[in-house]
Amino acid sequence: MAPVIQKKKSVASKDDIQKDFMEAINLSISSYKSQVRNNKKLRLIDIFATMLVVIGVFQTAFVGLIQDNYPFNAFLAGFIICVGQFVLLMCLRLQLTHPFEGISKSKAFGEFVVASLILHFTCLHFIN
Amino acid sequence: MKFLKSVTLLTTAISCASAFIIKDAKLTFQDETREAMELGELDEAYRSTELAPFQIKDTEEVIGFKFKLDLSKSKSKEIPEQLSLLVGIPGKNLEVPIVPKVKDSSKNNKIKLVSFKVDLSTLPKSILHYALSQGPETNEITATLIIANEKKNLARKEVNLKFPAFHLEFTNLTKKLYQDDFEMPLRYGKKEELAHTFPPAPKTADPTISLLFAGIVLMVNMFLYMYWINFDAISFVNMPSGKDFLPFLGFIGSIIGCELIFASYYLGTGIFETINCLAIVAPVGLILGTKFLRNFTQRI
Amino acid sequence: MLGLRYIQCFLLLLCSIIVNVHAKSAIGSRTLIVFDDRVDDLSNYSNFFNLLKDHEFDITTLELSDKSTKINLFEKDTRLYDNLILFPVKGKLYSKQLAAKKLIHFNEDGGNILALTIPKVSSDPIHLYLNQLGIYPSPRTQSLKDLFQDSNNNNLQFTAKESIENKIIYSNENAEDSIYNFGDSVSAALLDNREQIIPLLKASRTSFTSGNKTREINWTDGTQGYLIAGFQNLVNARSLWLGSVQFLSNEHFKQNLDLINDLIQWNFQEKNIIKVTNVNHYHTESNLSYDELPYKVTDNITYTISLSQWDGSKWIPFITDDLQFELRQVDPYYRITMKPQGVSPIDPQAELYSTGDFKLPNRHGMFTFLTNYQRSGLSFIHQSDVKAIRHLANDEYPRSFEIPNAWVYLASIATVIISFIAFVLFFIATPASVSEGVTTAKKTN
Repeated sequence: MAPVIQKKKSVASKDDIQKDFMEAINLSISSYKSQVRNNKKLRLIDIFATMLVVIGVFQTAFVGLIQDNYPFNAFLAGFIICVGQFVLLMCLRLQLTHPFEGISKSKAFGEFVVASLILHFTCLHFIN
Repeated sequence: MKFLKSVTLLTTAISCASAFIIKDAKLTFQDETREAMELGELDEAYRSTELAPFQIKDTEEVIGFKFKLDLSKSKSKEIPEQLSLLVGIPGKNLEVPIVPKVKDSSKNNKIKLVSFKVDLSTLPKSILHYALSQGPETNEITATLIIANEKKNLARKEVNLKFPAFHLEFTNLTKKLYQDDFEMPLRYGKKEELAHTFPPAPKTADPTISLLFAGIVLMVNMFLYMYWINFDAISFVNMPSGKDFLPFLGFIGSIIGCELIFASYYLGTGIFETINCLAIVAPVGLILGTKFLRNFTQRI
Repeated sequence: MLGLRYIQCFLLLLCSIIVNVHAKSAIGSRTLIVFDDRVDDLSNYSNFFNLLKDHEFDITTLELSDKSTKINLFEKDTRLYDNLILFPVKGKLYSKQLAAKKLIHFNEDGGNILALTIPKVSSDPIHLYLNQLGIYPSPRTQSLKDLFQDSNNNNLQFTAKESIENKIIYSNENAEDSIYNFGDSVSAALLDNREQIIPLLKASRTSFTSGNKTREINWTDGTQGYLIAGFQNLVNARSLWLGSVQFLSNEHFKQNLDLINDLIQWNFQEKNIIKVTNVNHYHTESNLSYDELPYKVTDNITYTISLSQWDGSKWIPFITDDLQFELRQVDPYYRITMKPQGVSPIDPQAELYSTGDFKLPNRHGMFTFLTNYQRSGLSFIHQSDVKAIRHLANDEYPRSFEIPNAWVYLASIATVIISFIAFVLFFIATPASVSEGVTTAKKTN
């Protein structure tokens, strides 16, 4: 919460938009770095999420390359598993950094695992 | 002398065996740049010659066909019973009759002034369709003049007349410009054959490209582990041990079990068998997982 | 042994009786002739009636000059006659009994009508009936003339070669130069542009229809006019109109005999009758019918149909090269000209036609397997069979691993699942020492 307030202040004090923007980016990067520096679990999640994005991009690139989406259900299954897994990871990450009230982290993790399993089954079913 | 006279009379009678005499025949055109065409007397010589068709530029053209009908040599001095002009394409049985306007000549009431008006735009569409078709066969419009009387009203050597008076042909340019809206009338008959056209088979990419991409995707997986290690995201410090170890093993085992069941479902196992297996694996995983996570919650 | 012989004899007898029943007309022989003695003496047509008797028609005659005569075409909705011959009738009295509506009802019920008109008499109901069909005979007093015909008694004659229009009905093809005499009182008709109408004999080029009054507009001119026209409705009942009564009279009978014979045979359904004896469609490879193995999209199917023709005494194979099959779902998906395959193996009286192998469209739903054979002069055939074509079941599509394109997606799913398992393992094994600090910081906030 604290970095956000700081950012607002800097908007008020600086005129140059670009400078302001750079500062904001630097700030977010540094706050992100500080968040991740000592938390290996977040690092684990972020790298996994990045990989999912890369796989999704590769699949889309493949469709673009062959100019045909013929087994469209297969493409959707492949793409949806990436997107779905990404979303679930983000949910988990959110609950790790800012846990919801009354839901412990281990419960959040259990839910993540069950949801992921359902997602995998759905995608395997859908790809035929 | 008397003999000579009778001979000449006889020869004239033979020479004009047909007593309908058509004089001063004339074709007029609406097209002002075109001069009226004098056909003269439509006698035997005219009828026996092959006539070249007149070229027509305009489909709206109105052609006037006028002549003097001299009845002085025929038995009946009245207007003949049948006096009409058949306009159309005789070869295709497409002809329309046109009725003339007939007036008595001011000088001689045995001479009738006959005038036909052929308005090409009022001709049936079927005739225009064939006359204006651009195919290899040319269908010229023929105007056939019919002059006939009943037998009792004919002199002994008098003959009813039926002959093509003139032909019309459209110029190639007119044919090209003509908007044909003629539709063939509905008739029973063989119809055009049809076959369903199937959509083209879906293209499949070269398997090597697919393999290449699949390889790349698997490579990305390798990179994942590399980066995990590289960024020091993995450590086994927190590895459950002691009383947590067995539930942990069950938890992980049931996840792997579920995934294996999914994979076997994908590879062809029936859905009911899959549900049966899941019904065993999932509750075990759920119970062990809950137990493990509850004990382990402080360290997550 | 002797008993067998008797049974054989009996069967033969039975067969011959059945054949005899068919020998007349394909539908029936009860014929009613309506005429008016005031118009014409019926004895002038004795040859024509003898001809009808030779064709084994069961003739009833009704004379209408007596005003008390009642005409009943139906009794309690049952048709009493198969064929109706209408000679010109005088007087308004019979307009009601022979109303056009009744004639149409009779025709729609399957009865054949032969109607004759002459310029002398206007038989209103007959004219109205013909007008309903699209045949417009010239009104009273207008009669057909041809000033170029070289005859002394004004008889109109037409040669077969120039005037006969329908070659299916007119069978006498080698006698192209035969001349038919229509007498001196002929009415010509204009015909509607309808496909059910069968123009049979057209007037000559130089002919015209005109009345007594001078300068009256001609009803027909040249080849516009027709002297004989047929009409076949959709239940295959046939109507025939003749523009001349004298055409049938004893005076010209011999000259016109072959055409009269053709017309009667056609009109009263003795010829040009075709029927379907057998229809079949099946899977081309396995010969299984629809009932054994329902059709699905893109199946290969063969359709066959067998047709017979009535030759006046028995059914014989009907051979043509323009029989077409249609596969329809609202619009036709296929229209295939079927090829004759020779005599049907099931029925020696029929010709077998086959479409050959064709592939059902990649579209599911109710499809009609249709043979709609309609030709001028032949009886119509409408044979339809509605069948459902199913779509592919979910296990009939190719599996994803059979398609090279899907390998990429398969690989990504596998990757994600394996990585997920590894992730779960590492997630538990990796300590989150500092994360506790973050959460406490958050809590203090």
